Amino acid sequence: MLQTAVEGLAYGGLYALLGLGFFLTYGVLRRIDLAYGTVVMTSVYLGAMIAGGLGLPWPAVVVLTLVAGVPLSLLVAYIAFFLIRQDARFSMAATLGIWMALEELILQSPGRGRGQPVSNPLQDMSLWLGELQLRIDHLLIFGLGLVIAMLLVRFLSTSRNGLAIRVSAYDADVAALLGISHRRMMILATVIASAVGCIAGWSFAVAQSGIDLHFGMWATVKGLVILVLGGTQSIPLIVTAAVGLGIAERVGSELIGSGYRDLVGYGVILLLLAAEPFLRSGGLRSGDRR
Amino acid sequence: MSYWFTIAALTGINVLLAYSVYASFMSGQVSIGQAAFFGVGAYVGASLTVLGGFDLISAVLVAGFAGAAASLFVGVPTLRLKGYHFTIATVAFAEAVRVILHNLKYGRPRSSGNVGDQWLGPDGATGFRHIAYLNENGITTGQYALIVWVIVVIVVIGFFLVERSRIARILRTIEEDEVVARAIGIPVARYKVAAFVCGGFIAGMSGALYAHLLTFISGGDFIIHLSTIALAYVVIGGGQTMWGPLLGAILFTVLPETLRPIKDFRIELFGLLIILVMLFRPTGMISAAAVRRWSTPWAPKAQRKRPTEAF
Repeated sequence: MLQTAVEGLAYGGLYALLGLGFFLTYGVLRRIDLAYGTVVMTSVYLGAMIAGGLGLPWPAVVVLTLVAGVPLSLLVAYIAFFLIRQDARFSMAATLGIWMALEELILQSPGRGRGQPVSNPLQDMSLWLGELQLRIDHLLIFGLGLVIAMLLVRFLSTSRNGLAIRVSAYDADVAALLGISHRRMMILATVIASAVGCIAGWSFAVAQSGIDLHFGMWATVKGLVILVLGGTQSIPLIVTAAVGLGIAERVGSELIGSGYRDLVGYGVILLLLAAEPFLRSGGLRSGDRR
Repeated sequence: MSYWFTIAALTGINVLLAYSVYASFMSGQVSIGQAAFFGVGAYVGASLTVLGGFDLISAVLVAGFAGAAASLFVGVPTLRLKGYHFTIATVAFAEAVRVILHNLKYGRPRSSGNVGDQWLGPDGATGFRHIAYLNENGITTGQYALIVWVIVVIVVIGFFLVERSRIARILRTIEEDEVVARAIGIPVARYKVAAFVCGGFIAGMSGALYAHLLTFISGGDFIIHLSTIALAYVVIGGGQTMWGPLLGAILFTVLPETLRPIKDFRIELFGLLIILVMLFRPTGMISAAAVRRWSTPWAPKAQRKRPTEAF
């Protein structure tokens, strides 16, 4: 049981990164980006395919993923959130379109949507604490989640740009009066969100020794779950929710069978949304109270 | 010919699916979870004819009620929340249902059949095979397409009547501004839930019809993509009037079949089209204003223009 809980930590780190990505897009842009996971998947996929084709070492995959992912996210944000502004529903529908088109393009690419191997520099390295096996790469993913979360907290609470993003997220009009360009903040938030997402996607691919088509949808759904669980107010809350979900899913799958693993997350989200009117604090609702 | 009958039946099923999205869309709620009610309907409908010995029509009706019950389950707690939360809840519910359907196993052994294929009813990840009602009762694909379209016509007439009633005005008011709707005394949550449950009923019927057409279903059929495509029918066709979903679903089921070269790139074109429609004609192909213009060609020009769009 403890072993599964430890494995859950790695997923917790991954969920934290995905949740942070959604936190930035939803928090600043007030838009739900349904193409988020697919964009991340596409970038890692392209990175792995190109690096694999050219026989480049593993750091190249990270670089290529970021090179593909950041412009792609900016393009999505430009089309779905900047050009389409009048109604949040239209924006969401547009990201839906991007998701469908992108996923299908990958399916029909030369790779035919087959999984792309991603080399794992830390393969088979584990720490042993008595009976407990700790995979180094899993620990690293968890650490990565925590470190990036801490950096983000620091960035948002102390740096000029971070504060500007928060003002912009709070109220675009106030931001404009303070001389902050909402558009610049949108770009900045999108870039950070996509970088965080790309790193999350890559680290997951490393732990799984490959990336496949399903990761996109899975990442989007998990990100949304974390967004609901953790709310849009505090990063530590998001990280806590993510780690909690990661562990709960693993332990839950041990108890009720692996086929039902994903049910834990969905069950929690439904329960939480159902209980939402009674829980006046926390959750998405407090994020919307403006 | 039987191929085209299959397409016709499938088109009807997709039209129903589009209307199931449209029902709650009228009140401004976007559901990306119709696959759940479609899937519940498919499993319930198929179980009733295969294991319960029901006839098709009652099975389809019961499947509709099952879909409605499922949507009530999601709708009651979540429709009180604002837009997004409801949408996220539908996604979560659809995925939860898919996981459950994927793991479902009940039924009884089959007397005949090859080794490893001797189960009647859903068999976990293998899926639900041998939904042979049409074959056993000698219903041809053509007759089945007719049955499907009779149901479609009934649903369309239903929407036609609703669209001209007070109910539609109330739903559109809720869509336009919930606060105003509440202020003038509309029980907002009740109407939203009612619309959503109607959508669930239609999706459930549609799912049962789908299961009998395909004769083989599995949890993998009811992934989130199905919900997104259903939403796309409405968004592309137009969500302001009842003609939008009809056009969207027919066009995007029939067109890929007739234009072979584009069939492989169907989904890409679909996605691209959603983006383009949202960019340049966010009302969808058929807008409320266009319907007004077409339905009253004799109206004087000054009256054609309304101060505001309905959307």
